[in-house]
Amino acid sequence: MASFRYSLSAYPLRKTTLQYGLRVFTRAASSRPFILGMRTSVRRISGGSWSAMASASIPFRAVLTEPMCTVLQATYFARLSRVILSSSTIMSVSTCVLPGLHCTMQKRAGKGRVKTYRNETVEIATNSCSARRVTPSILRSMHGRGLFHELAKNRTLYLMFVPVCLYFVLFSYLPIGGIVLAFKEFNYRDGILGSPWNHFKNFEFFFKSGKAWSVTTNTFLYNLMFLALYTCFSVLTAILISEMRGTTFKKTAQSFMFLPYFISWVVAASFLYNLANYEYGMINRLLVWLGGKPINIYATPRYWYFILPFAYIWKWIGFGTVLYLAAIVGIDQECFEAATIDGASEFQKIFRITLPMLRPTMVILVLLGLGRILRGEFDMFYQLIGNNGILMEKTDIIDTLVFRSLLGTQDFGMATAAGFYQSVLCFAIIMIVNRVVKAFESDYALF
Amino acid sequence: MPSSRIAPDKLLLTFIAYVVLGCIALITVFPFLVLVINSFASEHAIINYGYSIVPRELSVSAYELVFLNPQKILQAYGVTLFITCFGTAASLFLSSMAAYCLSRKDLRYRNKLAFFIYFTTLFNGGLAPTYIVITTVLHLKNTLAVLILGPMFSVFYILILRNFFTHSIPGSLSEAAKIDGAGDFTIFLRIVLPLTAPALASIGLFTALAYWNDWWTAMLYVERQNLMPLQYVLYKILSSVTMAANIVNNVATLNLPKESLKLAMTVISIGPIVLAYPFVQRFFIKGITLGSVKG
Repeated sequence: MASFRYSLSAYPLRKTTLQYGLRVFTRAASSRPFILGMRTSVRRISGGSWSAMASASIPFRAVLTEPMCTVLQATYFARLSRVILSSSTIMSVSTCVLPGLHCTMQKRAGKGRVKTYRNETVEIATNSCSARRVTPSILRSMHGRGLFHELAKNRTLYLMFVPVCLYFVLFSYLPIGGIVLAFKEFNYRDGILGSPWNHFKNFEFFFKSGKAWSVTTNTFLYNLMFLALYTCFSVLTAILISEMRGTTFKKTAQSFMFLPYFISWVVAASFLYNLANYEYGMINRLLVWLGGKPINIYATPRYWYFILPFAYIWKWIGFGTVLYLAAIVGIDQECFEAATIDGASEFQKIFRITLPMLRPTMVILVLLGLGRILRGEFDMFYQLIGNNGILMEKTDIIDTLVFRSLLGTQDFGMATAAGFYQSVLCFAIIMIVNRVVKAFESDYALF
Repeated sequence: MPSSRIAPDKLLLTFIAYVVLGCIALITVFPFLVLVINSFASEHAIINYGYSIVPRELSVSAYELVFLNPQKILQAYGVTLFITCFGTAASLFLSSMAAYCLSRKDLRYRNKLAFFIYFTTLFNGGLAPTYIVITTVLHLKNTLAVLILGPMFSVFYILILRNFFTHSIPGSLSEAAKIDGAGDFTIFLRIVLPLTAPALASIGLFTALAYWNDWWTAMLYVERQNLMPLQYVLYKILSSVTMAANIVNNVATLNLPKESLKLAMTVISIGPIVLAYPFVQRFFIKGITLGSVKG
């Protein structure tokens, strides 16, 4: 026993994450110190102290095998400064077995500060080291069984994944390989591989035509506008619906709002045409009836700054409302009751309880939206505007540009280059968003 | 002090709620009203007075025109119905199979596999390479298969299903069945799948809706008229009078009631959805909630 040295160390996994691990060092010549164990995440309940958490519910795994190793590991999401690592904490986690082992505990905080507690007594629990916790797969991974063994053992399960896998290989990964076309001058006779290279000509054409900048800003700004308005309106209607008592009106209104979600943009375009066309449209008829002049909406770009967000909200408001309503329903009613007893007004309850409680949902949805900020709402733009040349400059987005150069001018190289440009930007944006989120609230991270 | 009177702020809030929601609901449903009402107006009325909320001259001539020569519309309906039914069934079965595989904790590569399909949402080749791969490598242009395969799988739905399996179906069920000698596929088919019915219903409806409303795949890959689904036919009718005339087998485009014909066609194409809507709405709401709990 004495030849083992145990060290319990706490070290930050990421900026906001502490991982506690008990490292086992052996003096045996061949074995290197290693950590074994599953990373277990423990979410801090706000207000509760760490030790309370620890005694209540730190799941951990302990494995006793040859060579002997024991690992106690818990990942703790909290700010570093608020964690007090004390021997009593560890004591409360563990219960028995291997008593009286001395170890050194190190708490390594963010900026290289290291705090060391020497000669602490650690007791390590193995009573929770039941067969259920130490699954065969952990043991197997220790022994390092190979890929083929795993595939053969679970062949039915892996076979069940094959159709979907094949689909994504053919319809997603093959096209990713097809990106080489961005550097080629494609023709049908030679195919993807045989077509001659033209290096960066396609990109040159895309950027020098001046289109790149205008479609990128258009895509970005429209999506930003959509996202902001969509979030505001959805939250607003969800809150108002949740405040209503009568069911009939509520249900009807919600059904009406949700209806456009079921309609394709083809039909939505026809709706817009009915309202906005120059000769018979309702808006113009109304203007004429009021004594004004009819306006040619389909030839005036500036109206579309209003129409497009309006159409977007019209289509999606029902969907967003359902999303946020689900979150509102999930709020603990006791909060509202307590607030009522404390004399809060209805508006205070909305601003002090409902909105803060909706924050996680809003953050996630806005982040997802931000990640897609350069993916245009192609269906909408193409159906509502189509190939209308007058509106083009103000309403052309990357997706419509790609589509037109593909089907219209058959400029495959440029279409691929523009698509690649979009994909790379999107990918970069998602990565940045995810990184930022992880730094602040790692719970909300996408992956 | 308890009081039976409603507090003024509560009253104000309720008032605001009624007014705002009433307005939004009216605005969302207004285009539908305009469409349906005007589809019963005569061509003459539309041309002379424009679209209106109160029809001036009632007429069903546009509908008559469609119903007299319904072959092409019926064909489009048939294509849409087929791809919707077949596609949804296949997509649901294969998606849930994959999702079950990803949900099994004893599978060592499940996270890698999940990332393999998740990656396609982070980065993709874009439209042009996809188009070229599908037309020149897979040779799927002008086939029914492309209409089914195009919108078939959504990574998002597969991951939702996986979460459903992990959180709502106890692992001990599978274990018990395994001890009784069931293979993985039998467990999935006989035990897991029946328990997944509510989630499958919701996701199936979302998939079906995507198939029904898909015009885009057809626009890219289908040129033969007998393969065109309803939404694409509608798109063509709305964008060209020639196509509208062609659909109703009417060569004389001049005296065709083109405006009311467009409206009637739109009504006919959204009819099934609007009629089914009240009955399936709750499944969609359930589905959205399902996705938002653990997206």
